[in-house]
Amino acid sequence: MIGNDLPPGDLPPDLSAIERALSGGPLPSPALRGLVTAQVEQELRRSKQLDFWQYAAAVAAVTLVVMNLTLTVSTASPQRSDPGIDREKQAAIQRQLEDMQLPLSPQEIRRQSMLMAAGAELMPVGTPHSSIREMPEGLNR
Amino acid sequence: MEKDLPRRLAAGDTAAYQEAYDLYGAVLFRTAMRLLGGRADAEDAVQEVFAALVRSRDRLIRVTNVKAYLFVSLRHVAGRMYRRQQNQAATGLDETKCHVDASIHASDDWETADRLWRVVASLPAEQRDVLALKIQGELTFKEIGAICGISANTAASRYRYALEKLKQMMEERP
Repeated sequence: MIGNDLPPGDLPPDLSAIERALSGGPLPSPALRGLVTAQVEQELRRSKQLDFWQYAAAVAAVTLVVMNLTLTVSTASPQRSDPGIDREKQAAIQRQLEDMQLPLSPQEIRRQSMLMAAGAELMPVGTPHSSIREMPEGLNR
Repeated sequence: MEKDLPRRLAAGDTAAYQEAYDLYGAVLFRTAMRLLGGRADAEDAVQEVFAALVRSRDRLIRVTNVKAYLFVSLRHVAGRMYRRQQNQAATGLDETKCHVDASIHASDDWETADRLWRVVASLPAEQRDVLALKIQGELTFKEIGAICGISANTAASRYRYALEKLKQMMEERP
């Protein structure tokens, strides 16, 4: 018997003889060890390269997801109305602008209507003038 | 050292793979030789087994019996190569196989292991596998059962049936 863990009954002498006859076997060539080692080293290198690219792909995927989410949130969020703006006035201006069918996006029309509704409440911004003559009446004195 | 082998293999330690080859390379080769019938195919199979071991090294940390793990892999690799051999033989491409078959019928010498194993090739695959794993792989029936997905008792039965069938085939020879 070759194995001794769970004998399939006591083998009769003829079967034991076949078993013994089958047990001879060739040895691998001495070069096989070197070939296996080379194969292992090649696979290890390939697997490390694969690990790097998997990591890079994962980072790129996460970056894309974050960018996508950020863009989605920023475009989907309604523009916050300034509490100082008269909403009715702003809505009326917005309707007027829409009626004019200007080549502006709905968001731009809304932005313009908010600016116009804010009117005088906006902070004055200095306008550069090239000469005193071009300045509005009263300011060039 | 051998107890620590799965962890070192999982870590990608080349010396651990060499150690695994020194421990199991010869029995893997002999088993592959008996399953596939040719030295070149057997060497290719052993190389593929070790390459597969590297590719699946993340799982090795949970492996307790490296030898059995290698033989599971060998069985898959040899099965794949055997099917390829069969396809090539069917299309007339495998001259080696034709030569081997011819030599079986040409010779009455049943006493050498090589010739016996050529006869084993005509046994059902499940019996052939058990014979090769037991005799050349030097595995226990429990290990063979785990590798083939059968109970140890079934492995032992198949082993005995295979030997009996082999004896019958030899007796039927003129």
